[in-house]
Amino acid sequence: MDALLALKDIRRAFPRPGGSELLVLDDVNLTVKQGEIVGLLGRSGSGKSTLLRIIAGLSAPTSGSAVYLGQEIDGPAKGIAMVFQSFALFPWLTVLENVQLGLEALKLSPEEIRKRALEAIDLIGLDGYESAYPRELSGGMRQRVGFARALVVHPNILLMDEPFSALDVLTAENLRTDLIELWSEGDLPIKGIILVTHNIEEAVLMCDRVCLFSTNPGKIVSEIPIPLRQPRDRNDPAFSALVERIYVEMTARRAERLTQKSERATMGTILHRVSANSIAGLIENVAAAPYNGKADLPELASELTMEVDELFPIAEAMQMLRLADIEGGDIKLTETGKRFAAEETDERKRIFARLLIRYVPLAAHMRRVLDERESHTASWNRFLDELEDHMTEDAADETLTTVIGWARYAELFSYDDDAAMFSLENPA
Amino acid sequence: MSEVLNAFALGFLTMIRVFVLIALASVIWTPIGIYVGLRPKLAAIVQPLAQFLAAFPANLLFPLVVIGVVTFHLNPDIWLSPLMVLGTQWYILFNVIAGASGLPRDMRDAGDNFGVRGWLWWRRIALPAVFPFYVTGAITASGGSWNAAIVAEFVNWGHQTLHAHGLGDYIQRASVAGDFHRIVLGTAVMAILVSIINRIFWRPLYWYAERKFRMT
Repeated sequence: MDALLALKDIRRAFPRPGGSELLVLDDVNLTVKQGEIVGLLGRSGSGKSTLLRIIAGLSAPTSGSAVYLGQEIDGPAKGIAMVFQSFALFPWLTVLENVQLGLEALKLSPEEIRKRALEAIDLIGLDGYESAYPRELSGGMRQRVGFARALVVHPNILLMDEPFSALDVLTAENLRTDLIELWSEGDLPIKGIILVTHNIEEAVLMCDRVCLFSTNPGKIVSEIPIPLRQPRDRNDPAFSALVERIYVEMTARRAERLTQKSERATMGTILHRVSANSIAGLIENVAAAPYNGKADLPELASELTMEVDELFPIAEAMQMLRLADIEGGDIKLTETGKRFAAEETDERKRIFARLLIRYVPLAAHMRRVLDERESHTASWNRFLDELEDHMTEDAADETLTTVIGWARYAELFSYDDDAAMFSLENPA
Repeated sequence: MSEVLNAFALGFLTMIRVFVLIALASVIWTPIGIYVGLRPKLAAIVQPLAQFLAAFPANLLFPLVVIGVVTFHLNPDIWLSPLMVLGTQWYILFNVIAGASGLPRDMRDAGDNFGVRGWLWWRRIALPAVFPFYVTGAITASGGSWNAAIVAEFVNWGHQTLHAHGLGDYIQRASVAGDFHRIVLGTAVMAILVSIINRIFWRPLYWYAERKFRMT
């Protein structure tokens, strides 16, 4: 009893050109009880936002059931309100009008609408901004409007899709603190919150329970209760211990997945946007003192003031190229990685080119096609179409963009963006 | 002097025609454009079609209308008018489609999430979202319709000639008669009227739309 929301065996697949399908969510089970803040933590692309859309009734699962207060969700449900990363305010409506929109949809009387909207505006600290347009507000104030708009309908469940990640650090912290304070004091007219985030500290700071998501397909791989009392202190050793624990778990899972999946990348491997320079930069950092070739990822991240989401793709690319190994929460340079660190730019480029040919089938394939053609040129779409047999259009786009960056660094082939053509010519 | 007044009076008639027909075309094509624009697959089919229709020489269809008006003894002042927007209405359609397809998914989701439906959805979300695009389309359509008036208010097919009272008809009659003075006068009056309308109506509307309704 008391379950606000129960998700059972949720699976979501998107059809791909060519008849196959892309599995985004698989076997997701989740129950949210009254009075809980549940965090969905994972890197971008792990299907967390898709899951949130399913809960909001904006998208239907391919199979499985989503039950809200005993009712199957089959469309946007009254009582489930969402806060968006992009704020998603309507630029032609004032703050007051944006907040009132959900109440108008409930067909309340004009007096009731106005009264409740003003209450919500007051609660969330937007007094005095009623007649302003969103474009006149800072990011933080805009997101406050986003919160007020969601709270004003007195939802049972508040869904938050990375609500703080478009904000600067201070603004985000300020808004988090305000929200937690209102929640702890019982001032919010809501019964449960689901927070999607890729920020471990944010999850530990706000949630009662954190669900870790894996990628490809998105799956809940572990649930970690956060038994700390609110308000929480980032400097509390128990807090850091939880952050560290989640960090290790995430790296371990990903390392395991990498080794498990296959030793080598394939044509279907999605390459996330990581520049060759950031790879080189990270190698230098790990190679140098105090790490001398082996570093604890959380420590490294905090020294570089990066988030997991930024550090993981780089570490993964290094692992793919056999420049480093990832184990537990550690990253360790391979012999090649150490040699790379010791060399000057020209030799680095040669090493990088060799690794691309050997470990990135896409790069090798593209080079081969260009070599074989008499003109030594090929179009962007030539390779994009090929990639789309293996992945979504967005992923194919990202993968191709990434490989262009790597190939340019390695001087493996060049790309003319205006003509959307690859070639072997060196523009210099 | 009375000739000038006469030209302006006829210009006034043409102006009413242009406004009424742009309004009619707007009422028809704006909702359709929004419907199409929110469905990417449909838009991919309709958008090129609308662009083709805008480029299609609409006067090839005029004889059909002449035959219809003559056969059914219709009033040419009313029934020749649609010819003016035959080729230009598409600008409204494809601009509205472009506007609707540019509506960010998060905003659509927000509308759905808060249960905004029916007339409230049109009023608060859909119509404001396409408004700047609509205005661009309507300005183009209106300008084109003034030009089209010259061929639409004076139509012949074989030995049949139909006239609608208006400035377009005035200019066309003058050019058929080789009346150089009237051609100059008619054209000048049209240029003046179009400039005035742009200045006191379309331009302020355009800036209002850009200021209040643009996404970025």
